[in-house]
Amino acid sequence: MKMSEEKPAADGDSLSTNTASSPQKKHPQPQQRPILATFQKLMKKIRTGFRRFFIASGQDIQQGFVHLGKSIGGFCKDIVLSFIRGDWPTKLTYLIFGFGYWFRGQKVVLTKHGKPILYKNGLRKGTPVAYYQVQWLRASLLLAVQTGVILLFVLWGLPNLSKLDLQNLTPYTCVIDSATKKNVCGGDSTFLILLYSIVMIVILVAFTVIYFIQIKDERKSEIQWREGRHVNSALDDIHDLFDGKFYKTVLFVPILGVIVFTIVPILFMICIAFTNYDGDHLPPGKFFSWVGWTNFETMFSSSSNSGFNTVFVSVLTWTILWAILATVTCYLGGIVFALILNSKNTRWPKFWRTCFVVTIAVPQFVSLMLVRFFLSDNGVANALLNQWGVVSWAQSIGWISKAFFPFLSDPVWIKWTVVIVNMWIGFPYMMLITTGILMNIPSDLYESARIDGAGKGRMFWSITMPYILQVTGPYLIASFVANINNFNVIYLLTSGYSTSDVTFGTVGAKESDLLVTWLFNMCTGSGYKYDMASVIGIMAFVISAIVTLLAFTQTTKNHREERFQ
Amino acid sequence: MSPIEKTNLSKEPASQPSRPAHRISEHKANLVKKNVAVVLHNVLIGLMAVLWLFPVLWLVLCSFSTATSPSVTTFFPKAYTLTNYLSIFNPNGDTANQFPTWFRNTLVVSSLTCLISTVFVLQVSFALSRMRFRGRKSLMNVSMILGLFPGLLSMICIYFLFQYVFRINDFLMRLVIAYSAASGLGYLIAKGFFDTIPKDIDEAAKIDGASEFQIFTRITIPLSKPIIVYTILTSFMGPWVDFVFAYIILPSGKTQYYTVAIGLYNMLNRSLLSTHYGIFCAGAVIISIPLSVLFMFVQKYYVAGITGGAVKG
Repeated sequence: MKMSEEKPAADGDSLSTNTASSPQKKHPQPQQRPILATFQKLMKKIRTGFRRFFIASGQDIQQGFVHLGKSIGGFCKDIVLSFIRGDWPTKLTYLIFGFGYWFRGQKVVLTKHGKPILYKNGLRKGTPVAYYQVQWLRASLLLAVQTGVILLFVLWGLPNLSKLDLQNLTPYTCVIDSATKKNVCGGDSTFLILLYSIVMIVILVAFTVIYFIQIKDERKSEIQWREGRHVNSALDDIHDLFDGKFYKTVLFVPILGVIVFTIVPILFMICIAFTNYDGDHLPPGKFFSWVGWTNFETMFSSSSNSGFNTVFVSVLTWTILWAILATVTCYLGGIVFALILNSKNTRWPKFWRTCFVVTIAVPQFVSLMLVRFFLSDNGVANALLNQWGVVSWAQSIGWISKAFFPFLSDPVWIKWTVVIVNMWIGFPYMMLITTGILMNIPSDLYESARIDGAGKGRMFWSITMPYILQVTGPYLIASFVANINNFNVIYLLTSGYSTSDVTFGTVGAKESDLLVTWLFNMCTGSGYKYDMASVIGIMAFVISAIVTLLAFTQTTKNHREERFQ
Repeated sequence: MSPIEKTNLSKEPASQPSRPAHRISEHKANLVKKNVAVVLHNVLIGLMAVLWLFPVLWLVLCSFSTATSPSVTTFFPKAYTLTNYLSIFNPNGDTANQFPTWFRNTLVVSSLTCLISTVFVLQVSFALSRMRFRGRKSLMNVSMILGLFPGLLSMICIYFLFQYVFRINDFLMRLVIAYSAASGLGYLIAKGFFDTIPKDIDEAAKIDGASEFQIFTRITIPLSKPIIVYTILTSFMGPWVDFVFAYIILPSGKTQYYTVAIGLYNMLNRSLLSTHYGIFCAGAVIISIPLSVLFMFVQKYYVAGITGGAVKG
């Protein structure tokens, strides 16, 4: 814990060298107006950020390609050379997985109580004194993997992969079996063909990786064996998995989970974007087929008159606007609130903090649905405002046309409402974080500033704010990305609203929709436009990726990892 | 302390007794002013707190209200009753209200999810934080990129994976797997914590002959109690508040498989809203109280994780 207190000062320094925003550097010109200065600094930071992003990413890509080329070249050389120079078991390893391992092992001299077994007249005939501990565990495991995958490929993968062009398929039909009186269905399902093929391709990729790894590794143990160095026995291998190679043991199952439940679905989703999988082509009764870039054209080109194009632009604009508004309001609101609660004037700060935190603790599907009922056209808020005469007053000045405030039923009002309600949900988080940070700021920073004659405002703008910005930078990025995909707030609050705009209605969207909620509506609504939903999903990913890349090339996050170890 | 400061300090107390009378009254006025400022400050905070607790308060009020639909004209209910709480615990064959079953389902799902994902997260964090191996950086980058894909679409595909590839018929098992299988991706906060444990400890243990497995179980785990508590509690709370993924994975209409979140959300259907709104509120209050207590407990770890992880990388 001591260390975490020391680090802020060091980070503050690294910040100052980068962006010239340290308290010391600003000191000579105290007459400069703090807000303006901060804004200018922010702009400068964004400019340098962009510049650095393009330069850095350019260099990264260039270096990446050079590196990739070199490593692929070196890898191929290794594989070819070890085939030429290896002995016959190594050569056979190229055909049969782990074949060489049956021949490599550590020479073990038989011992009794730690001493080699010796006999009176040297070696007794036919009695072994030494044997080889061959790597039978690796060899048999690899053989099992090879047999398994080949069987799987022939029996299950090949039939599916051969139909992957999604043409010439057997129609799906159901026949009532006369004997059992049950409906027996048969035929191809394009959905399953695609899904199985992707699973098979992922397995094949893993298979190829294992193939090359075992070749390289086998060659290594051949050399070790030939030179008389130590070769791992099966027991050594197991021991290694709990010591030097422990990371393999602990990462295996989690990575397997990620591959099956994250990577396979993502690949499937990307493939769906290139098919016409929608309500008219729902498996198993009907087939969908590959359509190339048609869905992307429908989504982006202005020549298609499906309405997707205009709605997409509008939804995308609102998504980005929403992400900015939601992030900024919660961020600033949280900081302001934490400062207010942290002030010396506050009595019972813990109690107040608890009050605000309760709003996060209540599940969102409860609190947001309640707010939705509260603000609906005939909800309590409107009833109360009506009783107090606010509604008739607003009507008289022409602010609203109907006898209620359309908080969640007017395309413009609803956007303001969700932003404000989101503040209610979102800024206690930022408040908690800022409170934590405020407690961590080393007090000697303030003390030295006070001795130098800095006032309260000066200390706030020169110490507190830079400090908070520095620490919460990554959180800010993360919350921006989270807001782009903020399903809960938008979906729950606007689920009572239905659009009157025909263009939006035909593509299953609402004015208040984000990309994610639109996507969800398409998948669950009457249209089942999975193909277009996938296109939107890909777009949401692209936007998040751009934002994250922009932000992370600027911060030197990865280099700081080992500072405190 | 410099000599100049010392003289300054010694001067001040000496000048205080000789303060003129009007200065004293000014001092008093300042005191009053300050008190007023304190009171105003706290009243302002209090007002904000009331505004913040407004919906929560309304939730509690509605749960005791005799009104069965949210279309009411007054904030405070006209009459109070306990019927909602009674019917939540005694559904009496109401298929739309099986709170005790849902509670049991969610408890099972969240306990198993919590167990699996805590183990996964700790394993991944240990490997990525305490060990150095080829491809470690790439793994971290890939995991960051994977986190950017919208999970909603994946969930739809996962539903079909369960349906056709794995053929798991137990819906609660499906939920457990869907929640916990990819939980290794959420390693960042725990890794940030592990990064702060000095490497010297590991090295000392290695010199004494400890294997990495022993370092993990005997050193890192005992030293990381706070982050383990945090991981356990957050993964336990997940299934209680999530409704989107459960909505996709669980079959519609089969209420006996619902979790609390789905069951309660289902009560807000158009057809059920006018009869089940009070019951919804009562159920929401019942699950919100333990969740709030848990969250109060977790919040400091959450803050430490975000702020610490942010600086430490």
